[in-house]
Amino acid sequence: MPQDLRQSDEFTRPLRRILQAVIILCLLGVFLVWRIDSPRVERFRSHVIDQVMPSFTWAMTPVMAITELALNFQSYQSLYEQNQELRRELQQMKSWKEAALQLEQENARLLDLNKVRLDPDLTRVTGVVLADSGSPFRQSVLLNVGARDGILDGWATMDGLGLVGRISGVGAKSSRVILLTDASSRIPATIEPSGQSVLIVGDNTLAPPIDFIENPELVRPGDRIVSSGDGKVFPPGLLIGQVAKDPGGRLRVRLAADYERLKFLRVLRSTSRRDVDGPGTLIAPKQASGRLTGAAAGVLND
Amino acid sequence: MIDRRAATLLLKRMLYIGIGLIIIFYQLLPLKTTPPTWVGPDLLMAITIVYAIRRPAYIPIGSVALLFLFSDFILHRPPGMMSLFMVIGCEWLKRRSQHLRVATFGVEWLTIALVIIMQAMGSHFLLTLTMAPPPPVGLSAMQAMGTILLYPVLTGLAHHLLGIHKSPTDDDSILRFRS
Repeated sequence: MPQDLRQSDEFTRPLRRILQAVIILCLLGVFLVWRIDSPRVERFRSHVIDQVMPSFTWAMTPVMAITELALNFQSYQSLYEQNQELRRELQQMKSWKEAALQLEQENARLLDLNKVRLDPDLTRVTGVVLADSGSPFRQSVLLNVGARDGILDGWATMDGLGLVGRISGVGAKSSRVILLTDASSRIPATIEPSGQSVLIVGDNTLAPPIDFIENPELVRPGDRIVSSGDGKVFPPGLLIGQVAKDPGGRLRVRLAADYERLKFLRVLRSTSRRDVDGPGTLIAPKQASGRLTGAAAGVLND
Repeated sequence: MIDRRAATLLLKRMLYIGIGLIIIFYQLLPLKTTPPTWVGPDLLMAITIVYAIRRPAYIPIGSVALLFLFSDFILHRPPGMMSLFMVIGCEWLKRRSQHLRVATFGVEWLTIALVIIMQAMGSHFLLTLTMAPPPPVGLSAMQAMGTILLYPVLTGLAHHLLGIHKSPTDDDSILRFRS
């Protein structure tokens, strides 16, 4: 029997070797094509995901429900402590509620005085989170809205409170949101009272660091961070979070969006989309004078 | 007789693909959307390596390549890279599986540890070479260590619960030439 095996091995070995070589070369080719023509392969990827994910959802819902039930069951053990804590928080909340009501009335009066209209360009599409990236190195989620709902690459995504990320990769029925915590996420922002332009640089942690601060001494923990609209990446004025200082003394963002529970996300339709129509135009604007005012940017675009 | 054996072989091969798809599916569930502070082992990789040594006939090169290429696309990894290293590593292990069957467990464990570490270093090197941003070194090292540590657990489970022993005269080593 072993002789049989050896003989047949001798017979099939060259064939197997050729098959191995072909498959290895094909895979290497796929990788190189991805490096050379990334947008095309990424489009193919979102097409694959688009075909596969919606057929997974029927299975995902019950599995999610059961797993969440199991996770919740663990938390029943600490029910008493939670109850006490909730009571304490409720007391604090009641006082905050009073303050909020007063502020709301004041705000309504001021808006009325100002005749403020909120930006009518900003309408939104709400999507449900289908899946996450599935890999610990990438922070992204998949939404169930896509090109058929008019979603375009680069649009801002928020949960109820704050900015969550931006759309990157749109299929017909699904789209991927790169979260602010992803290592490839860079968002231009403004720190509110001091008005400094900064960049929020994702680094795969829950609190992304703040980069390119001109005067760090003007920034205090607790300052609000909103998106700045520089480079026309995002509409300006979306809340991102608050400044916090980590033990190493580095300034980071405490994100306003609740990353623990991303379930429904709003995709903001923005009309002032900037296309990448040539190499380098997105990175280096025609006039390298730092920040442009809205009017100047408009003139340049014309 | 031959037909039944071929049918069993096909069934076992489908079983591997099924296990792989279930693992990918579970990883995709949006249970945790915060960035992790630690990374667990790569279960799909560990199971594939267990297969490559214990039952090489059940993972033909085509299923490994297709399954990992699919997971590369779905899990938002550089397409083709992970599958490339898994195909090379698995074929290398499969060619040695005859020798590893009679070797002690220590030798076997060292061999798979070598394969996993080479894969982690190779992908880091390839990404750096092509100027793509590689994942954080600490996290990928943690994942490789986790996978290496998971291996004895998986083989133990396979040995005691599923009764998959490594016996040099197992009949699937005869089936091997059909692949």
